[in-house]
Amino acid sequence: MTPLLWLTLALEVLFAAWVVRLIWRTEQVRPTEQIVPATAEEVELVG
Amino acid sequence: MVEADATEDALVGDAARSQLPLSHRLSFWTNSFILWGWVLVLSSFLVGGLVGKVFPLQLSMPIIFFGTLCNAIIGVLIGAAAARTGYSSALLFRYAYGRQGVLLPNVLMGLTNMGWFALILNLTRDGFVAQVGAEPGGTVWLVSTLILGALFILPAAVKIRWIAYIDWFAVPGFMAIFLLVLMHVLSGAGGFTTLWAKWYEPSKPIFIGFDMAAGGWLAGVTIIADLARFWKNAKHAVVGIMTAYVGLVTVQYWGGAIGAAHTGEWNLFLIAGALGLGILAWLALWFGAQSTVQGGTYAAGLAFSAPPIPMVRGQEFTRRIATVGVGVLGLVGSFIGLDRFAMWWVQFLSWVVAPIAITIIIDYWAFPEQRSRYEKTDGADMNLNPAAFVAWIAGFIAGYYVGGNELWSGLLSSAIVAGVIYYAWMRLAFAHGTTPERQLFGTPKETA
Repeated sequence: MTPLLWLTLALEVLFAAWVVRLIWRTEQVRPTEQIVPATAEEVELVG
Repeated sequence: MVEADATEDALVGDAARSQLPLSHRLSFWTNSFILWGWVLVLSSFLVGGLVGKVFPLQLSMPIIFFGTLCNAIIGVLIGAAAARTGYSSALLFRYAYGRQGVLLPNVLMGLTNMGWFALILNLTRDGFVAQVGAEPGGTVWLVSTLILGALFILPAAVKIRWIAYIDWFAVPGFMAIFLLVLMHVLSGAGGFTTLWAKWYEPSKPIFIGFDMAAGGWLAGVTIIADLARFWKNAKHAVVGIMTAYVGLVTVQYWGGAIGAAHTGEWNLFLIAGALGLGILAWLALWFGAQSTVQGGTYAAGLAFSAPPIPMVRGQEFTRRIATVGVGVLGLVGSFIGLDRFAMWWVQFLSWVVAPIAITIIIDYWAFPEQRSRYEKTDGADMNLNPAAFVAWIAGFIAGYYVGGNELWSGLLSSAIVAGVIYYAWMRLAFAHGTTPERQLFGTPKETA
């Protein structure tokens, strides 16, 4: 493994951490419970 | 009232044509077992073994991690979108591809799953027939094909919860046999450090190793919405998908690479058989096959029961009919050579699937102002999105040319080309307050 490849791998790990943070923050700003119906009675069919 | 609620629940079922309501979601552990069962399969060891044959362990292990982490990133981005919206892959894809255009990714992914069904069914059946010493083409061969095929279809057709019931024992069973074989291989090889120090010249460039490792599960993470939407929120999806891909898939690939570094070949089933594990070896093969193919059949059933396919007697009935239909297709396919088609098709799969995955990710995550479309059932505002189709074609050509000629990673090339085209065209359309479809074909009123 060359230093360039280790650096690429490290950057990928950092990118993965950023992706997790993005999803976490999106979920905190607008939680899933506010988006999807709570029960079967509230479900609307996709047209 | 209670009766009416029960009827409503039964009609919604696994929500093939609507958002999955919170009341129908599964616990973190139940859904995690479903995903873990989905990723544990013999073919993962074969991919790891293939990388391990080409690269020594000092290279193959980091390359594999690079590839599986790439799968995990794609998986969490699509899986989180699915958990947040409650949509299956087929419903999620229609926002980017359009209400009619969604047939392209649905048919591609559905048929790919059926190819895997036929291939894995034949491998498992052949293993059983060899185990009991029966004649290929005889009665035992025929009956075992039908029984194994029916077992793949049944849990998928009934309800996702039945897939979990099987995975509660298939996952620990598979892992126990895998660890037993791995420990035996390591002790026979003189320990991990001996294998790590063993060096041989790589016969391919490193990016080809990455394509092998990341390509193995790319189709699986692209349709991960079908399973990920059963988690209660996106945080659960992130943890579950990360444990599956960074954890279990990496360990399986590494196991395959370790086996290859020691023996030059790796096939869990063959090695377990050589160890004298007998029927236990076949059981490991079946655990992996059952837990994966039932998930694939379930996903293909969802793909062929979503709009624009017409609904028959409610969304759950439509899903069940479609699941049995695609299962029977896979079963018949195992007799007529669909497995050979799957082996041929797999060489193009990364370039076919990577543009689809990147398009969905960009559509949901790169345009926050448009994300709200996904929360409305009529939010897919195009019949056919030309931006998604042009991006897919250009991505495929780029992957085919770059990967086919081993110039660089075909998988990354196809994703980058498709991603740039899709993002640029959509951004341009949004800036003008329109859609790519209206830009090309005009509104229905203008064209009338």
